[in-house]
Amino acid sequence: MSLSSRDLVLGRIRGALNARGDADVIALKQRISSPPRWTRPAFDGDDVARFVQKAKANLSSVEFVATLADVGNAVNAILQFQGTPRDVSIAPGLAHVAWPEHWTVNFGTGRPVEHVAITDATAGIAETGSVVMCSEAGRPGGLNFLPELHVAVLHKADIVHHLEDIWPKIRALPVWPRAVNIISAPSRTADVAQIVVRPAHGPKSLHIIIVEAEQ
Amino acid sequence: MTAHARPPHEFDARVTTGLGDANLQRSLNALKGTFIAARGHAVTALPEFEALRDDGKAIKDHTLANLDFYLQRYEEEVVRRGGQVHWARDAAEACDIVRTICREAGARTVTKGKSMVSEEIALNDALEADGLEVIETDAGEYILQLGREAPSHIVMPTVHKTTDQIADLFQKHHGELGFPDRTTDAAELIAQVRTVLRDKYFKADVGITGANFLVAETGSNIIVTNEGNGDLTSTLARVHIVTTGIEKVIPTLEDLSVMLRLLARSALGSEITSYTTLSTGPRRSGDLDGPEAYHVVLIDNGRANMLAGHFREMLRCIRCGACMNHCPVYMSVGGHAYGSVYPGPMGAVLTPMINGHEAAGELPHACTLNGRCQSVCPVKIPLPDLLRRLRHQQWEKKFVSAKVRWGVGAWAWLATKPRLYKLATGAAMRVLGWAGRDKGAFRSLPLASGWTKGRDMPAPQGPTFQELWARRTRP
Ligand code: SF4
Repeated sequence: MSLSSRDLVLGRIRGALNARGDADVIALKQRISSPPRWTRPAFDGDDVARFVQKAKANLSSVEFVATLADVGNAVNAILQFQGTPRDVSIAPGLAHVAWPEHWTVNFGTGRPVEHVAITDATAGIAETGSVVMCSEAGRPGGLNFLPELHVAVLHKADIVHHLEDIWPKIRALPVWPRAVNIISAPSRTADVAQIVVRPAHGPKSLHIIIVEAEQ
Repeated sequence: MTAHARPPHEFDARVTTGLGDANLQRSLNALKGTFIAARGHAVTALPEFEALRDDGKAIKDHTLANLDFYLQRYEEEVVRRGGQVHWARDAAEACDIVRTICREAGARTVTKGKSMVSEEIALNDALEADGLEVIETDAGEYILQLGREAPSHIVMPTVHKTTDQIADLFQKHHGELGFPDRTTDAAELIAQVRTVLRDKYFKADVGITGANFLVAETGSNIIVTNEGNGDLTSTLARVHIVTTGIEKVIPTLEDLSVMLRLLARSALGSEITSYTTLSTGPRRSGDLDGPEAYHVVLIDNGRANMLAGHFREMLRCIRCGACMNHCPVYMSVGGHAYGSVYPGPMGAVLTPMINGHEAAGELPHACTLNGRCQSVCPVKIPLPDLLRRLRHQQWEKKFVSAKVRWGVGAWAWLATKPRLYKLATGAAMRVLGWAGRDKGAFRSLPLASGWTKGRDMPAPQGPTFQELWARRTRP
């Protein structure tokens, strides 16, 4: 049944369109491998500064640390300040980093109750102040959505100018990820009387830690 | 939700209800203020916005002109990455495909992200008939599901609901879930939704989402949300099903970048939403989460037939809702008045295409041809022109009598011009009263009875439109 519907729908479509020759097909394939360059928003200045400004405008918080090894202490200071339990989920790909010893750490996938999760970004986008998370074995995607506080670790060198600039970085990964999450703000909804409420289903807070050191 | 139980040809009756509903009028006024201002601000802040609109139109036009090619390329990429693609010629077949996937997965619980096309095919009804527990996860859709209501806006589905109404619903349904006390605090209400739904995501066998776009280059479906519900739905269920119209495909990630810039600004006045997610196939080997199976249901349901003529332009629609936010008729009567899944200008064009001219009744006439919708549409769909063509077609096919055609159009036009209305009141009411005499459809047209106490009498009496308008605009 499904096969014939496929043919039927494609047949309906072809019936409505102009016939296509071999040269047209080559041109279409060409358009996929080298798409047109469309309008991109122009902005000047330093990409890192722009990233920080945009992220903050979207109500994320941003902090700089010198090296990856400093992320644990930075997060610990937040937990201490908030009185949050030291029960932290961390993307398994970050297991090699030294984390505070008194933490209970889950290097796994997300659980129904997650106070804090730390995951690492493939890229940051200066245009919008977004972090880009790509799922893979060491980066379970659920961790980006389940915690109350989501800490996104971003290497400064991975901040790109435009949205378009993340695509080559993702294409360069060994396999195209199941999920690419472009995260630009904490979770919110306005579905009750158009009153903005944070969070809805995802994190209440998005804290972006920018690591200055080269990897 | 039984959106389909409301025949569009009763537009006029529901208009009356919409105009008389003070809560709705307050919500619509608030919506009008927020959305128009936010969009205006976002558009002004981006000097390239007009150029992006041209790009967006060009991208969609190119894709639609080669739709078979891009759908096949998309399909190849989905399959290459371990997913499955199903083609559905109509709503019934689309529901059957989803039901079969659920059955074969041994599913009991289904979570759903917001998907207008799933409303279009009445998927929830089909799944519930199979005994499945279906849970809408978008906060707005969840509220509507509790109230067994249809969305009244394609982006803000609950725009017609007041906090009090939601508080009552939650008290009734969440009482036994650990929330015995009634609350009217928006944050507390949403916290309840978060708590109630959190376990459902983990319990779900199947997670269904829509797609804002499909990218042929990578075989990805893209969803855009602020809540994060779509991601929890697609990540935590064993099986992820994407329900989508065939017109959602675009060629490449470069093209997607343009469409994303247009969508968030046009829909919400935001530069970008909290979450933009590309889902591509099931979990990879070694992945710790993500679905074991990934299915896409490509739904035609009238779309392919739109390719042949002028209505191809409607297939550019990216469901941003800007046209309804800027439509004086939508803003006067609310989304439910349209009686179709898709309200406002885009709905008035799309509904006859999907449900047939006859079913759409006078929807194409509920328009003042003021052109605002077209001027804000991010992909430049000439909505007034398409509505004019529909009227003409209906006229030719004699689906609508001259009286209905003239009457609803005249009402729509007058209803949005209070000053002129004042001048025209006497004559217009007399004419409409006459027009309505032998035509049942006119019995409750607002000009005739919308603001009278009696519902079935076209007598020109009671408060005038002017008074109603004044009441509504002055809180
Ligand atoms: S017709 Fe245009 S403005 Fe209306 S929902 Fe579609 S894309 Fe948006």
